[in-house]
Amino acid sequence: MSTIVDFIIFPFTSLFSLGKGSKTFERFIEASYEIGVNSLPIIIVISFFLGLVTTVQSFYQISNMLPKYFLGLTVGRMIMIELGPVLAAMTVTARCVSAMAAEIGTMKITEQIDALKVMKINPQNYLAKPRILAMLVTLPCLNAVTIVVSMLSGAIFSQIFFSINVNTFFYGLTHPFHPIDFWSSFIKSIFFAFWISSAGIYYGFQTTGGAKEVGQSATKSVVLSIALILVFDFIAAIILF
Amino acid sequence: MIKIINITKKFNDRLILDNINFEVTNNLLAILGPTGSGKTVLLKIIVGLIKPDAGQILIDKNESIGFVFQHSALFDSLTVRQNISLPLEEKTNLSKREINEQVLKIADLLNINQAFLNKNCQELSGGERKIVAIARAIINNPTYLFYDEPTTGLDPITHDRVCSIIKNLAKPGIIVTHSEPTIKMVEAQPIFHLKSAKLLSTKEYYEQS
Repeated sequence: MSTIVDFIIFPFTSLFSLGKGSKTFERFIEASYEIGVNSLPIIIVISFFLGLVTTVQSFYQISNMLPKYFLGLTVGRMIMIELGPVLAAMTVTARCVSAMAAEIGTMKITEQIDALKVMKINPQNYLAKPRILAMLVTLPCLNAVTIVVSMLSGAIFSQIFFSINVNTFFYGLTHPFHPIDFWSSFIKSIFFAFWISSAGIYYGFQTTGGAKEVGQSATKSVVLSIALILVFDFIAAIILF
Repeated sequence: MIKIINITKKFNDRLILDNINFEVTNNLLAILGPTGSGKTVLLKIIVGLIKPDAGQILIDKNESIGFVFQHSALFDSLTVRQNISLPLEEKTNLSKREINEQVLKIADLLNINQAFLNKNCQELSGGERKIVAIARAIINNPTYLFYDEPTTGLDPITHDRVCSIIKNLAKPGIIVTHSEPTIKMVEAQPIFHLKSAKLLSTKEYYEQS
């Protein structure tokens, strides 16, 4: 029970930890580059195929039953509301959250975190705060990239293989348009970002032992992050829709 | 002055430190003991990294402690210069120029050249890492310096170099080691022995042996 409470409190104590603002900002930029820019190639590849798969499956379900513009509507809603934020968060979990747990876990077992404490540098301010802030900024951006790339790949695929005009596809995408569909995607992304970054960093800080335990911390952080993504996705669905 | 009063520590019912009392004043004090005797635990208790089961540590408000870790605890993704300047970068409002001047002063004191300052810490040997760790520990001029096994695993030449650095720095503090030659070279006084969780003076130690 105390572990759960510790985990819930951890990101808040990190965000409110005190340190030199200019240095925190420097580390925030570094972390944003690592999470945001370096994740772009894999996000683009995954999003491209996400758009294709969603289009093929949706066309299979609605062809001969509904007007063609419904393909854009179905693909658009599925990607914007559900698949975009969830898959972007899961990709970042696999690429960055596990790396955070492993990096901070290694620092813990090699006494680097103790060294920070002895130098009176708050480890949460030095290691956790910039990473959580970077995730809060970059994951919604990666979510936007996921949505745009998936919809473009879906639209182009449906034009080439199903002879559904791109304009018809995009008409379905925007008719009817409910702003909540758009905003819910980003609200979810921010929630996911907050908790998955916290999971990676928290397990890093909890690491004791050696190389085996660092690996276990990375695994635990990924498992917890994926579970949290799905739990929050469900809670958001109930609250927002 | 640092006062260590009645410090006791157990790990899983194994008594590591039993009612330890001593003071650190203006000397470099040595604690000798075999591996696993609790030397590092004692140092970590004094700097606040480990909580004791009983006892207290009293340190004057305006006094500070530098710590040289057994495995150096350098940040491998940073250069030597960045590692040394870290405490100043994070805890002071000095300009980049002032920090660089301070780093060069310390580098000069420890015979570190410019090329070495720009090396990545991953490229350093064990002895070089110890020297960088000492440089980082003294950059903000702490009142006391604690060394945790500063010469373990070093070749004889590097051992002598590290010892002469510690001796020439002449900082009060604590050096813990299992090596008697190291204690002799750094001219630490007084010398205590950690045996069966008790801290003994040299006289008491030889009386019991």
